[in-house]
Amino acid sequence: MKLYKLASINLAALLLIMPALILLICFFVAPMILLGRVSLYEGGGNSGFGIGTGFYTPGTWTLNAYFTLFTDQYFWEILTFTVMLGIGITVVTLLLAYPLSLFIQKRTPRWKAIALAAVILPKLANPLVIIYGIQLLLSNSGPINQLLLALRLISEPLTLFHNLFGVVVGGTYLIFPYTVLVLVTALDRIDATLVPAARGLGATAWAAFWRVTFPLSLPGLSLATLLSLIFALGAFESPYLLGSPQEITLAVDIQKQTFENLNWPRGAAEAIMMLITLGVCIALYSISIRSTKRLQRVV
Amino acid sequence: MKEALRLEAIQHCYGNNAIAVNQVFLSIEAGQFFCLLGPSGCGKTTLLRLIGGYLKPNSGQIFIAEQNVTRKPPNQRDVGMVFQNYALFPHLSARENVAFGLEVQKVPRAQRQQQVEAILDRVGISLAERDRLPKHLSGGQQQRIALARALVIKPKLLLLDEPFANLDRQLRERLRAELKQLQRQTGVTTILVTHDQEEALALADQVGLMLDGRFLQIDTPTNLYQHPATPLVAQFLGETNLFQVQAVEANTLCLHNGINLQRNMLSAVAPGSWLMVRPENCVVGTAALQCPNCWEGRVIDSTFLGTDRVLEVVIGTGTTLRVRGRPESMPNVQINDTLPVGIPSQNLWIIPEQDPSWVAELPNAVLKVETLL
Repeated sequence: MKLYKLASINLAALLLIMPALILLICFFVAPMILLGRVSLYEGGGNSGFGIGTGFYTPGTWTLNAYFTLFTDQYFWEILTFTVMLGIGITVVTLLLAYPLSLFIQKRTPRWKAIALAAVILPKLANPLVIIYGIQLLLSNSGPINQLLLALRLISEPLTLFHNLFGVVVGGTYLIFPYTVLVLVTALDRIDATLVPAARGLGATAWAAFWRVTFPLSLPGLSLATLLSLIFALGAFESPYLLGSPQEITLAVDIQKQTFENLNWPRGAAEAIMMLITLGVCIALYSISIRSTKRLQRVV
Repeated sequence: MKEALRLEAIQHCYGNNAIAVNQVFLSIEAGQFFCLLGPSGCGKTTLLRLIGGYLKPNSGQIFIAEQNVTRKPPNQRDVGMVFQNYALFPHLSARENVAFGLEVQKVPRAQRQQQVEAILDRVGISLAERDRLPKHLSGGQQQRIALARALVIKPKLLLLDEPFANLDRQLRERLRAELKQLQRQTGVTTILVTHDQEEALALADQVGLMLDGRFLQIDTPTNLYQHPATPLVAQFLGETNLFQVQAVEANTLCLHNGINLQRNMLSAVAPGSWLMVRPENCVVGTAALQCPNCWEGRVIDSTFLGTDRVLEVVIGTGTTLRVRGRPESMPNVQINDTLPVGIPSQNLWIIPEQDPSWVAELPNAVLKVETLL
């Protein structure tokens, strides 16, 4: 009887996860395996931009793509830049999102809903549209330069994109709403009487924040950091459209190798390397978080 | 006596214009244990938050130890507060929770440690429990730590917001006794908010009974119970029999349904006044025959409560009288039995003054009394 019950529960559970499982296998696991396989082909050589033969040489097994990658100075530069940019965008995002989340979280339910809607609204637009919007904003004849010129703070337009600044602005803008959502939810979970309690015990507003709100928001903050980091390490739209040849990330280069150079094994190998980088970064971050004593107590 | 707290014409409205506290005046002497008693939504918690500085009054003044603190934030008021949910810091151990107030007030470490350990000894937190996080401690222990945390800063005023609400009955009674003792030893002026009248009567030197943002009466527990100022107060506290005097004839007070009372002990009673008698002050059986006011009554309901039995007895042409007594004093009482019921005249309380607005709300027959909440 008991065994039957157990089996039926497992069957129900299996049915529940089945759609998601099928989706994951068909559209995530299978392409991943395929990607791994492609990275192990011999390149297609210079056979006419991939038309006809091209892309890769079928039926071959080789680690050539990886060997070229590892010995390529250019690849390492891109990899380093990708990681540095990812960390940079994450830091900027958090510095902007945390104070805003504190502000939003303290509003009345109605204003909170309005503020959160305002934060999420841009996510309804296509990222490309957003990036083009930012291009307009940051362009030489855009409102920001116009304003600075009108105020006579500058004598000629500043270059605000096709450089690192533009890439960070775009990247931050795309990640920001997720971070705010995570942080507001986390701050909401802190008992609202704790700050008044701290104040009643003689703490100034700052001391109450620093000793109560901040340590209790650390789990949310670490989740927000992780989320930002994952998005930022995969940055594509922003460096592609707001950057210059100096701001090439792995994601951009994969696109270039695959669709411009038509070197599929190299593109695939870079994609695998990117996955590994992402994994290593997340692992390093998780380990460092887990060893934080303060955080351990909160969780 | 020194005045620990004075409220002058405190008024507070919430955003939706609902008046939570309406022109409240209050004065509490230093060292007193004061209970704010009232049903939920009467404004008692709002008043406590106003005193603690967690809310700002729309108008009026608050004085703590003769100092005007109306516009001061909570950290400049010298007030310790125990929240209903205790509001212990979940990331700090019991010891760190208690030390928090001293730390932010920059008390030197050695002094701090000594004070923290002393207060933890006092509230009965064992050494092993002091390093635990709040979530690893029982409700009772959490409550003790919250109390210690509020007391260790040596506040001029200790505020307690329903501190026993989340505890089971037995523990509640034990902690209540401990709190009373602690308050007496430390002599800290204490204001406790509760909806539990038993708690208020058991703990307080003075009880302020609140309704709709105002005080109905501020008095000692005995006075509040035995000598309520209005019929509404009589209704709120415990169970009661209330009768309105219809007419006064020579030595007789005429009530509804042909009930007449001998005047003898009662002085100046005007028609329209109210007479109150507590159910436990009525007598039944042969003892009742000695009372000057005695009627033949018919039992319509009988409830056994362990220590007591409560009878509902109809007297006259339909007035119900509630009688409470030891079960052994009324053996074999069956529904529809008739038995003598008496009210000793010294047990009658005349509610002298009448605010017409209260009277309008009271029905003419006996008031069924519901305990608060």
